Amino acid sequence: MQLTGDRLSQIQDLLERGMLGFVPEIILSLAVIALLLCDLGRRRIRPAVPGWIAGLALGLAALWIVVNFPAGTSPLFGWLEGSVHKPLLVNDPFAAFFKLFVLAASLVVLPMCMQSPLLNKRSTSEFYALLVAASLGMLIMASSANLLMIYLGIEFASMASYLAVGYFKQDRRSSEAGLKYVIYGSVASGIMIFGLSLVYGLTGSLALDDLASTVTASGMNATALAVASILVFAGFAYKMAAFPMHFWCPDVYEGAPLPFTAYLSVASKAAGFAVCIRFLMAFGPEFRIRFTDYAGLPDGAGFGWKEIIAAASALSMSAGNLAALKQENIRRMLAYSSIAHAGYLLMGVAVLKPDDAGSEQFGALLFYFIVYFLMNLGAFFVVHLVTVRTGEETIESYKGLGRRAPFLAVALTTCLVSLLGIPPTGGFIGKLHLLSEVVEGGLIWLAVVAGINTAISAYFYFKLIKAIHLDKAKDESFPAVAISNRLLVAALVAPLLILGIFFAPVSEWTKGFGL
Amino acid sequence: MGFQYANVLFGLLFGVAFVILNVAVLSRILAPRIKDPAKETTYECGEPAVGSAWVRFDMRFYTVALVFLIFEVEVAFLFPWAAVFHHFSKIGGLFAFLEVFVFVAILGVGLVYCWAKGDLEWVKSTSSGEAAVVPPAPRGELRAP
Repeated sequence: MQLTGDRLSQIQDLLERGMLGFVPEIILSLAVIALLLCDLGRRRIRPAVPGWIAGLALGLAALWIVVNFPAGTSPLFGWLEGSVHKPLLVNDPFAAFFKLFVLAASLVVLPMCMQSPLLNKRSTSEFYALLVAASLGMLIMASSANLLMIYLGIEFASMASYLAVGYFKQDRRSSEAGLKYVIYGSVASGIMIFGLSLVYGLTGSLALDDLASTVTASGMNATALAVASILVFAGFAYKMAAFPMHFWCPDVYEGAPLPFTAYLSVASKAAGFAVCIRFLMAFGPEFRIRFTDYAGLPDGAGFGWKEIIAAASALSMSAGNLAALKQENIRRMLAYSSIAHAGYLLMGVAVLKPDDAGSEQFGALLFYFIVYFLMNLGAFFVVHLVTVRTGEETIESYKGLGRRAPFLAVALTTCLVSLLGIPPTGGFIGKLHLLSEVVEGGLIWLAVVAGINTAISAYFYFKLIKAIHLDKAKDESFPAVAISNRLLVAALVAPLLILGIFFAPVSEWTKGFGL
Repeated sequence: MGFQYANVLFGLLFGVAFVILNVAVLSRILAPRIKDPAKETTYECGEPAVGSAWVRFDMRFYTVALVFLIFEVEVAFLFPWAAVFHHFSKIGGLFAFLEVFVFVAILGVGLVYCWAKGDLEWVKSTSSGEAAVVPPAPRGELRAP
């Protein structure tokens, strides 16, 4: 290969411009290194220091994204084929939305980590390093435009998550959770990389843009491409905790350090959705692969992502909600509820459309993401505060919380009502938007399934609400909750109520982040 | 077209029948059965077997293997860089030069981390300060202390 000076300058220019768009990730990388080095000094640093370092880095990265919010699509890194730039990463409003989402989730989780007595027993800077590294992996997931980067981002986020889930080495549940997560994760990523290698073999390129152009080309072995992309989808479903890759979810959510459970249920899921949506968009409008290689099939016959995603969605919400009915542990209950929510969110993915035509659908989906962020993190924050104080996490131990800690009880109730989707909370508006888009997209049966599922889920959400407000507690005492924690909980719960009534500006705003 | 697949089907059926006939049927009828205690023991390269196979391997083997793996991968990444670097050196190439240093520095942090945590020492001191003394393993036996 001969590189002329002109071409070299182009490549170097590409790299240098890439670095500029990569600043948030660089900040996080530096923070990971700093946090690892924190642990090595002779003198033990104060336990709060690593938390502040992580917070500073995450905050700076988020600030950088807000200030340099991408107006259009700018490709980063990659290589040149002729004069065509094949990027590894892209910086666009969609990526920026999910990057901010992940960073905000980790910022909310940080105070939980800093208060967790179990986490502060031993040197904790490793744990923060893992948290920041997982966020870094998710940022890469959100912006990857290349099959390799998709895999790399998912693996990066997963590796850090495995370690953080099994962080309490002495705790059997945590070790079990870590091991299960690793085994499920490696199976899922094995399936996924097999799919990715098939996609590469079929299209001859790693760039998602090329996938888009080969899907529509004739003479393509459509059956093989359909199988390959379903295998790839398995990897995404694992990150989203959607059916049929959801089995790890309850055990991991139960055993992991509670702050990290909260983090996984929001950030990891969102990153999985981001990378999945970007992959699906490569299949063009309606995401169909037309079977052109068989004679005698009716015109337009083919493999449709829409049906596959709709089926995964219906099964996820049914599996999640039905299994949640019998849970006695609040973490397991919330885990199954998060599987069900993966189903609701997938419902929005099934009707997505690329370009400007899809701004309504993207708006509905991303609005639900914002609401999900608030209600799930709000619920986990309250669960964290209660668990730290009572040391228990059964639904039994929530009896009489309404009398013992009225503020927390009201906050948790609001989050649960929103997870269920009852007005006047954001959860209702989010679900309403989603369902109306689904009906408009022609999947009426899916909307009916979602409605039935909402009714089923009422049972277990209300079981907890009943325990909180109607049942009597054995022990009426409850340690006080500091004002700073109350403010944090209020900052998560109040927007939920506001979004339930005054939602128009936000739902308009989210329409601008489509692909 | 369908006929060609029939070939495959017959080949498959024949293969399955062949294996079942030989392994399950003929060997039972034809094979001699002479019992001998030596036949029942574990085969260990012709040597008499020593100890049980169910020994615990020391964690340190894995740690060292992991550390080795990391730096091996580092080298694997440095080779492609070295192969194209002379192109970049024609136009200054400061960027490509610095980039690889950043890469090596990050891996260096990993080495420092292992070192400071004591994972490079074979006899690792425990948290209470006293060294965990490891008795030398008997010869011919891979056994964890």
